[in-house]
Amino acid sequence: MIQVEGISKEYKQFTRSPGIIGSMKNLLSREHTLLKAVNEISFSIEKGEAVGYLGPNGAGKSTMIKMLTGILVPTSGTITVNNLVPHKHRKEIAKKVGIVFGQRSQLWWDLPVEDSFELHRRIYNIQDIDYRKNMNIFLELLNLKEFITQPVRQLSLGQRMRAEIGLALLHNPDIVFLDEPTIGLDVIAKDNIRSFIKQMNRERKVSILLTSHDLKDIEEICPRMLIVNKGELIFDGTVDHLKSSLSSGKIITIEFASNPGEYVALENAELIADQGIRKTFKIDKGLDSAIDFVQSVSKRYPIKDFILQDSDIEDIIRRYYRSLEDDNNNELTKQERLSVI
Amino acid sequence: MMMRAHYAIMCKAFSRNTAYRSEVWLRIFGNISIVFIQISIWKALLGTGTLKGIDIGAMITYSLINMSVSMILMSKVIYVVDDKLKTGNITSDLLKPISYPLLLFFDQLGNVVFQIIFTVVPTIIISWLLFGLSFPREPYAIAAFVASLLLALLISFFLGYLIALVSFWFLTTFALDWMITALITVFSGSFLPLWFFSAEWKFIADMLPFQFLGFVPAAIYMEKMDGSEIIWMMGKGSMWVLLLWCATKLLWWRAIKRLEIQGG
Amino acid sequence: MNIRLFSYFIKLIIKSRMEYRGAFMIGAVGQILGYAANYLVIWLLLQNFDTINGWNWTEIAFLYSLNILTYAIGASFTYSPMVGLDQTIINGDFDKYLTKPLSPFTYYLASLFNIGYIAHIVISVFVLLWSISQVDMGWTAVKIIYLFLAVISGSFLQAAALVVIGSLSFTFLRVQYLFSILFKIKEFIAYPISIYGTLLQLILTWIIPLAMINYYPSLYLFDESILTNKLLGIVALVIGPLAFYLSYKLWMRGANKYQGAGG
Repeated sequence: MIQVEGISKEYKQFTRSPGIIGSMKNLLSREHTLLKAVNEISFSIEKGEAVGYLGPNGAGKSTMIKMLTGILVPTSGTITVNNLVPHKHRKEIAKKVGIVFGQRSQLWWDLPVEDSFELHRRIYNIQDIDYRKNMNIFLELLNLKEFITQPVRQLSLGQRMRAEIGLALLHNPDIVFLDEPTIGLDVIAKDNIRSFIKQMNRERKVSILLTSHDLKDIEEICPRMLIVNKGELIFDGTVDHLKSSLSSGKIITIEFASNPGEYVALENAELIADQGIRKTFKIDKGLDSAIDFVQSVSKRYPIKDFILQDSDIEDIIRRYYRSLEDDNNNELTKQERLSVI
Repeated sequence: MMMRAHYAIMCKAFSRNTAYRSEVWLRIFGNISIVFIQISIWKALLGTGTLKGIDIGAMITYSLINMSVSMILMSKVIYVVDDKLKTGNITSDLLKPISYPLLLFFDQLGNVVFQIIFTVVPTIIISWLLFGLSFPREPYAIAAFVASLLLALLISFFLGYLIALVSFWFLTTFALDWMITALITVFSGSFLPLWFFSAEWKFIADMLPFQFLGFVPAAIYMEKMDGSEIIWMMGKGSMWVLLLWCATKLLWWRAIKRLEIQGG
Repeated sequence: MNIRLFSYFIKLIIKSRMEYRGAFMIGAVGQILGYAANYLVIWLLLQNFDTINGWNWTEIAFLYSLNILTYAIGASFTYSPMVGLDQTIINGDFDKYLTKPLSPFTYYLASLFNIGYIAHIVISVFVLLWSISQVDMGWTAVKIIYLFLAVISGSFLQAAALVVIGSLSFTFLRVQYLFSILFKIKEFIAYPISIYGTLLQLILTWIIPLAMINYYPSLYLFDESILTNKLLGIVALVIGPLAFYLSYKLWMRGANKYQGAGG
């Protein structure tokens, strides 16, 4: 369905003075720096697959989506979507693709929601039967019926996003790109949207590529995820695989028979909560070493009980990002500025 | 203390304009085009003759002075207020310990100073070389001209500000701007001097404040008004300033009430 | 994009604007007054002089109305999209126009069609018809068709000028000031261009062919027996669509550059 091979996208960044004359001056002396927003990324997505695409701000996520949809032309490498090259066959691809930009609306602000749907029907030349069928489904599943006749400006954010997602799926696309589809929504609205996307993925075999800051979105919808940083793909695999390979830290809470006091440092363990006889540790290794750890502790202090838990995925990735962002703060601000152009 | 604040606002507006300095040449080019068009029309109309004592040389000076005066008018202040209303920035301005219209005026004055240095003066110099320009000889005319410019600044500012306040009650500012621009087009005499108006149209123009935004400064500059006429005009202009100032006070007061009701 | 889809866009735009009927009406009145003022100044001027280079008040009114009418039609399609283009690009909103199975050019134009120019059209058609009733132009079927085509061609030319400047947005950061320069330069054709020197007349005819919008069509309609009037009058019918096509190509090149294709 989607084949991405060795894709790079470079932006030339000119040192430019503002205004027209300034720009003309820049035309004469083209001084620029090259910035790689996407660097040699390869992956493929099968029909019906749901993939999460993650990365810190400025990692080149939206650049990738723009290349996949033909909005941007890659600097090097090849992309095919449905066996077509997106930027050369942008219009054909557009018929097969649905896009939701969480922060850019496709809806007409002053008009009832139904008008935007009718416009989409005409833009995509959707057959009456398909249109009616889809509308009936969306009216129920997305609960559009409660606001379809209201002007968009009167809708809540959650209602608006439901309408956006309906619009993106109206023309029965094979692939849907979702860029932050739950941004700014409350828990109930998020759940509603996630279950709808899941259902469409399952029943219609719609492929999904999802970027989100909310890892719950990805955990619930996407069995597989891609993680990018500084334009490079650094992880491609299942969520479970990520948990064990990236940093399968374990959280261990030990209940001691009596308070061992100010705890002496144990190698590879970090004390993260201390309630006297109940202490919580975090260790960075897998299950085996966690058991070793408990054993070595119990040799020195009598323990009554212990609880072992995985640190959740959100925690893992957050920490991971943070360490990356600290390293590359300067780089990132540069790239962020770039994403505007 | 207060003076320093005003000065700072002015400087800020001035330096904001410097971001556009690369466009200054285009602006000058545009102005000279307009002056050139007007001169071409007057050449076609007057040829080597005169009408009511005005010849082509006088009309060149008239057109150029009017172009320059139009560059420093402040009636576009309407959009500044409009922007601030839309973005909600107005509340932060209202909290400043300086009266809002004064703040606006000095902000506009910063623009004007920039325009004078980077647009008006170059336009005048280039046009002078291209088309010729005559200068006033009498010192009193020069002094009166400067005073009339000040009146033009104040009247245009209050007109723009007044319209901005009126737009509190309408949803659109641009329509009101169109209307005021229409009135300025006709009655400021910036293209067609009031000398050439028929009696009844001249009468209407005399009843309105717009002639101070073009015709009056140019006529004084060209020494077409004698001492008593100048004094009469200055008095009349000052009355207009006072009248407009009162009108803005009144509207401002009501607008604030409205803002409070809307919750800012 | 076909005409039916385009007119559906216009239908939606009208519906949107009618949500703010009051503002729309005030806007229309403002525009009509604004142009009425311009007519009034010319009328006042001609109270003193009778003619400008042999053109009397009604002839000038015709010339002037043709300019406003064609501008209003052309600008309905292109003004809002082109003036807003640089901001649209900077905000990243331009991407939206590349996600549909439509040409970004027509999709962008259709999305931002401006019905506000209806007021311009009302006043200019009104004065145009009035001036036609006053000047004896010896109307024939050919002349009526000619006027119709001249309005279309002129509208294309007016639109093309806006599209050319708009397409520079893809290359330069800010182009706003170029629009105000355009409006100043367009003042040249508010009057018969015969009042300018030969060089300028040539420029306005062949390099920046603004005179093709209203001057040459007017000459043709007033007196087509003169050969040059006839020839340039016919050129005026061709140059509008041609200029618009070229401006469209330029715009699409800009859009390609935006996409990063070989740019």
